[in-house]
Amino acid sequence: MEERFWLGLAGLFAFLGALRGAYTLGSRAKEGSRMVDLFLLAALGSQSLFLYFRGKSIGHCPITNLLETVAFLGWALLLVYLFVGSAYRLSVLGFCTAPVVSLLDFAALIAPIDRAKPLPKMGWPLEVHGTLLLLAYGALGIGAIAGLLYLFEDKTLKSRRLAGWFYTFPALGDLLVVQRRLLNLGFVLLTVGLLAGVSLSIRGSWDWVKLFWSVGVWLLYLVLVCARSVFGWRQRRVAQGMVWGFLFVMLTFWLINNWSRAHQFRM
Amino acid sequence: MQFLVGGGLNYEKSPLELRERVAFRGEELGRALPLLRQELGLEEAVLLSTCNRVEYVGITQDANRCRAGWARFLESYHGYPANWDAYSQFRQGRACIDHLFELVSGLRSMVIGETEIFGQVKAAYEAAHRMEMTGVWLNRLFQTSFSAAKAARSRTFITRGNVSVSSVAVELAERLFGNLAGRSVMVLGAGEASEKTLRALEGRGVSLLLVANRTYDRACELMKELHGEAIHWSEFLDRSVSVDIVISSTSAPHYILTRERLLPLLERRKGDPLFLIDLAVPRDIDPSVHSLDGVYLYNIDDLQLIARQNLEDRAAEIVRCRRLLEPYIERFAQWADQRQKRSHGSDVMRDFRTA
Repeated sequence: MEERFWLGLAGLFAFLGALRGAYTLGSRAKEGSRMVDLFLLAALGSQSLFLYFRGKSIGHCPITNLLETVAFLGWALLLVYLFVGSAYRLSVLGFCTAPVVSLLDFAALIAPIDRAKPLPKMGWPLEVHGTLLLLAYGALGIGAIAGLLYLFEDKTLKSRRLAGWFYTFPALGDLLVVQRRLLNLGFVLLTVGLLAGVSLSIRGSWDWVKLFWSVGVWLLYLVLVCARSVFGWRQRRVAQGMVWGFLFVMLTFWLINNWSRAHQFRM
Repeated sequence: MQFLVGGGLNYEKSPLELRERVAFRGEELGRALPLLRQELGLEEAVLLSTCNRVEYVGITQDANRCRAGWARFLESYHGYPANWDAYSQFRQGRACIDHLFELVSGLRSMVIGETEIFGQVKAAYEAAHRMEMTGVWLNRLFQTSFSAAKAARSRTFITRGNVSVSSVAVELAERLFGNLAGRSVMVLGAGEASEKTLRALEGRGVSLLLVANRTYDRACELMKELHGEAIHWSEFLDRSVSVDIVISSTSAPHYILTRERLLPLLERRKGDPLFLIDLAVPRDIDPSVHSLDGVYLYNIDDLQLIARQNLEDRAAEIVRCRRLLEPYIERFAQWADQRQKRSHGSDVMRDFRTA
């Protein structure tokens, strides 16, 4: 119960960050972004405490059920944003990250998904597999948010009606750099995480449903990574791919894990 | 009894022909300020002279003498007789404070929200301060007005969006690429319009400047001043592959950059955005290229429309700005009231309106 309190607190901080971000955008104030970052930092702290206490109580990296996985994904999103947002001064990314994390945390707390599921004793490779993949989705998630902002900026510049939020949002070039780096980082983490999964499957049994889905996701991101150099795609298409790709992963994650034998989040 | 007074000539009421005759250069203040103080009977005085205004702010015991003395001061200093009273404004008390705060914040400028006025007022105040022409009243008044203006500028969008074609182009480039340091620009046609934009971009740290002109010598001439590279006209298409911004301002009667010529270049750019600024009339760049992914074309009309829109947006911020200035004005008024009670007799805040 105590662990869930920290997750609730993290969701609350993220929600406050989302409110502050919305107010900053609506009021067009210039000083709101630091407050949003502070809320998100507090959310990361609370989320870390949840994962720590949960990990301590189950004696394992907290990726054993859907609630823990969702909380871990929220943590990864916050971590990646706080690195990228401060490095590139893209506080608007935080305005978008906050509601996503808040939604994930509250949904995880409300939904009946916190059912214990002992993991097979496969040692640290299993933890590396789960952790790397969730970090990869964190990077690709923030990349997708940057892609969404890129599409907005691109549309505004094409329409030539430069009013409203256009001046508050980051420059198109900065979003482009962040997207490319997060895509590459996410892809590397995804690849290493999946390779760890393959090594586990060799030792255990092959989970074909999850394998096909994972290969599909990996190919999707491979196409996006190579899109510019090999296929000559324009950045707008890559940004669309990142947004739709991440949405696809999020929308099918639960379903696929339900069908999968090795990844079922059930008793 | 002391009064806060202010007034003078500005672009709203007096024509340029008059303002230019009574403008004061910085080095003239040494002679002008003591004369202003003497003619207007001021105890403290600041004289501001810019291209749009010649104004004073002061503390006096006799507001009527001050009002009458302004025309006398201008005539005796510049020796140019005119019906100065008809072109001048006079303010007292709260109206004077409101005016100064709005002036420093750029709300009274011809181009609303321009920031140059802040530096000009500050320089005028510092000059008067150095000459010991300011005292406790004006020191407090000007310091508070500077703080208020800084707050107005940082918490509203009164300074946001540029209002000239060249600066709008630079701002757009920054919105596209973020930091312009390390970016490259190519200019087609070495005309005045593109030169202005090029200079503005150079000021933002653009690393590579290329100029292609049908007359190669003219390109070389321009590049001597701008420290870039002049290229032959025939090379411009090939070199476009590696540049981020193309500014075109030739006198060609037809498009020099068409969709067909641009498409192969885009293949080689690997998705990097390309910003095209067409300042030419008739246009140099085929408007249909704007629909290509990663290509952003803005012509002279687009830039002018944005500049106008920015100016309207700034005007819409005036109300917010005034609301932000209000607490600073109140704070000064409270301080003035307290001081007035202590010194028995000052009526600096007396609520006279613009005469």
